[in-house]
Amino acid sequence: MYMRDIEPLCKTDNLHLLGQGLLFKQATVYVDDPAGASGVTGNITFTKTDSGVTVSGTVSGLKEGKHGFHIHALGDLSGGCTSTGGHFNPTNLTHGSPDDKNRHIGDLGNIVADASGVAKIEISDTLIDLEGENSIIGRGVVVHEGEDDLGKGGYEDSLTTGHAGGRLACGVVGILA
Amino acid sequence: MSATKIEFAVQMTCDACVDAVKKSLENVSGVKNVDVDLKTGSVVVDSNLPIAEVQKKLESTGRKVVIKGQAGSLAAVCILEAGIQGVKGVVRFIQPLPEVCVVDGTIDGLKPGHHQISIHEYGDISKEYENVGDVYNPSSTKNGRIYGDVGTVMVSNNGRIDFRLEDEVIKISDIIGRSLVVTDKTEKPSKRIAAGIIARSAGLFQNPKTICACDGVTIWDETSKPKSTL
Ligand SMILES: [Cu+2]
Ligand SMILES: [Zn+2]
Repeated sequence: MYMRDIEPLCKTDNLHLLGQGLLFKQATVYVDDPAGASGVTGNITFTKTDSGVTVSGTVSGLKEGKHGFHIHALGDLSGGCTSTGGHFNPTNLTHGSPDDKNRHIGDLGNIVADASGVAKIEISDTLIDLEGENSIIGRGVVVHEGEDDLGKGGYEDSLTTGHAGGRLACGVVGILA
Repeated sequence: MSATKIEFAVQMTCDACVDAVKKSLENVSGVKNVDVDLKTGSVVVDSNLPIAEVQKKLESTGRKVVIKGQAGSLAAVCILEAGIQGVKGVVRFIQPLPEVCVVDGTIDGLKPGHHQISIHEYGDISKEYENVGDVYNPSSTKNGRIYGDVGTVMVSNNGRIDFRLEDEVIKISDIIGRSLVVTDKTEKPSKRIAAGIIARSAGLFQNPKTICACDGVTIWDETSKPKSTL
C-alpha cells in the first residue's frame, strides 16, 4: 500500500524564504455545498489594492434577502462546511460589522440576493489580507442561510456568529495566477 | 519514520468502549501510543500508519470515527473535488518535525496502476485543471527534484490508494492555497484526473467544536451517508 519513490532530499536554505517572500495579488474561491443539498454556488475574487482587498463576484441559488458572508478560520471541507471552524479571528475580538473596530477579521457582513436569488458582491475591506497575519489564503468562505445581525441582534450567538444560521455554501480561498 | 499524532472523535459511552478502542490498536505495528478520553470522546493515536488505516482499525470496533485534528502548528488538508466523477479523496499534510512533511491520503475511484501526486502553483480549480498552473517549483532543490513533485503511488485493483509519504522538501506554509493534482500515468500521454485546493486545517486539539461522532462522517466515504451542512 505504502510506496515511496522519492529519496529524501536535504532542504535548501532558500526554501525558508518562500512563506514570507511571495506577494499574492489575487485569490479566488468557488463556493458550493459539499453535501450537494442547498444548490447555492458562487465565484468570488479577492484583489489586493493599496487600501486593502476588493472582494467581487456573484453567488446564486439564494433566497431573496440578506445572507451572512464570512471568512472562516479553516478551509477544511472534510466534514462539509462545518469543518471550516469559526469566523477567522486572529485578534480575538467579538463578532461585528465590517465597519466596526470590534470585529472578527473574517466578518464581511451580508451579501444581498435579488428576487432571482443572485447576490452581486462588491466589497472593499481594509482588514483582510492575502499575506501575513490576516491572510485569508487557504481559509474558508461561508455563505449563510440567514442574515448576519452584525453582533447587534441580542441573540446568544450574535457576538460569535451574528446569528446567521446554517451554512449553505463554502469553499477554500486559493491563490490566483 | 517519524510518527504523527492524530486526534479522532470516537463514539464511546462506557469503560468497556475504551477497552475495545484500545484493543483495536494493540500490537499493531506502527502504532506508538494511544490515549483515550472517554469524557470528550477523544482518541489520540501516535503512529506512522496512513490515517485511513488507523481509522479503519478504530472503526472495526463498530463505532463511528471522525478525524478531529493533527499535531503540528500548521496542518493542511485537500479534498479532491474537481475532476472526473467518481474520483474522490482527501489528502492531509502534517509537519511533525520542522524538516519533515507527512503527506497522507486516501483516494478512491482510480484506475489500477501508477498515479502522480503533485502540487501546482495556483489554487484555482474553477476550470478543473486549466488554471492550476505548472507544478510548483519556486527554486531548484538540491538534487534536482521539482518542489511540487510529491511522488508516485501505485493504485491496487480496487481503485483505492491509501498512502503516506514523508517529504523533506515541502513546507506547509508554502503550499497553502495552491492545488494538489492527481495524474493518471497509466494513460499515454498521462492525464490529470483530479484536483483540489490545499486548505488550512485544525492542528491537534485546536478544533474547538465537538464533532458529533454519531453523524460526523467524511463526506465522500462510500460506507456512510453525507451529513447536513449545518
Ligand atoms: Cu460564517
Ligand atoms: Zn464574526
